[in-house]
Amino acid sequence: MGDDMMSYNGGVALAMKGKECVAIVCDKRYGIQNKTVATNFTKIFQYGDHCFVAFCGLATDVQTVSERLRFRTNLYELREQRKLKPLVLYNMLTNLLYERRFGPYFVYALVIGLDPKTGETYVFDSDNIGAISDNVNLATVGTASDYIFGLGELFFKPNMNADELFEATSQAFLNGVDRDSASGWGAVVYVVEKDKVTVRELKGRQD
Amino acid sequence: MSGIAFEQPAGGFVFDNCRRNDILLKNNVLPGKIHKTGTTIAAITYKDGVVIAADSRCTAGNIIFDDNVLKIHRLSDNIYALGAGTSADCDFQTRLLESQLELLKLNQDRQVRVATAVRKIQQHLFRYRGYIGAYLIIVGVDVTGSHIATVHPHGSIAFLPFVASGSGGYTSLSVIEDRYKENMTEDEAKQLVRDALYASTTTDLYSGSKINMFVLTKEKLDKFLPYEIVAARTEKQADYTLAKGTTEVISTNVKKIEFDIVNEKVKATGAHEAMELA
Repeated sequence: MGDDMMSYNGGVALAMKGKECVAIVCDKRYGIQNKTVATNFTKIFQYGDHCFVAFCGLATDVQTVSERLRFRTNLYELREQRKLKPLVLYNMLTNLLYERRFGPYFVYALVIGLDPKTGETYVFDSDNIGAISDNVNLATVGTASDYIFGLGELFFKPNMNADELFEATSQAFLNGVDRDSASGWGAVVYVVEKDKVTVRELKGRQD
Repeated sequence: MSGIAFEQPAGGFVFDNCRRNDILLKNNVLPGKIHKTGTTIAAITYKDGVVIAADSRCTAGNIIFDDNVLKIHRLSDNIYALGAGTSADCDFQTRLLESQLELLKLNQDRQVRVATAVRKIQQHLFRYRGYIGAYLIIVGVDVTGSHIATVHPHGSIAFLPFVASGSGGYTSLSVIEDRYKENMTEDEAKQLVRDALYASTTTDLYSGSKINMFVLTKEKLDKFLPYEIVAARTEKQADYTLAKGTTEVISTNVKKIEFDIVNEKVKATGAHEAMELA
């Protein structure tokens, strides 16, 4: 650990899909290699009523990319006079990342969204150069993603309601993160539904 | 720094991180793993057209990132591409080519030819000297017949009667090489491609899950998504649904999403006229 740019600061995120609801969770650690510097560094950013993006990787790039994306999405909404949809957001993000194909940002991203009219849910992931994914059931990126992937597959089932989705996402995340030294210090879960977003702070191990 | 906020994307690659990343790499820092479509893709010609197939696994290192990826990209109605190598390069280069071919089709008002698609992507990849890691198989049917071309990142091409590529390409190719005949029937061709893909999905670690297949002729395009599920995941042996309240929550904050009502109609049940609210 530490000699890889993607695990220099630590951090991890997980997204999962339910029935007319979608959840995303990230940890709160900000470290420099094996030294923990802050424990309130969340990695989830909101880009519309029903759209969220989580960035994991090098912290400086997490902030840069999130702000560059904010600039482009704001400009899109002003120019087009319409709300951002999840697929549009995802395409904007992957385009932004692929532009830097030969000098990439060191971030992996998760994009989640919900169409309030149809109830359709969206979960996408991307690597640091904008590889396009399908609309998947669950996706995870970051230092503990290898552990969380297995747990996510275990707890995921199709058509969960918002409460089931919250528990499945949280438990998969917390138990995976506990085996990773580079992420942790609690978690923040966003559950997006048609009419509301529920933000819950989770208790996690503090070491 | 004032320039950055107003920077507009102008198209094309941006190289402003290169210097920083170079310095990082010189200090023995590794860049992150990028997604590779460690893949098997195969294409063969038969009597009436072409049969193409791909597995559906996307890997990052040894992790299976996605087990239901479509690696067959549309270039135009009569031309399709199969991609292996770096995921992002295959995705974006085929998208770029697709839009160029659509414009060309509209400009000259005729169906684009396979040779045109191949030459366009070949010249593009050559300019980037192999740094765009897209290994493509371009297949199509046009006025000159049915074609299969393989394009490598450095820009070399070959038109072949059959080809397979990707990490499981050699496994598949050996099966095709063994049993390929000219002028096969559609069923024979589909069976051969299926067997070739089956061989590699079951042996190659970076290929797996499903076989997706397209059959393309002058008259039709049959999509088999999937043609066969080679290895299905087993059903879960227990129900792992967690009870509400399992996770300890420190704080909860509910944000209501306000939405604008664009149109609302209230209809009276009696003899009154329907009211319309804007």
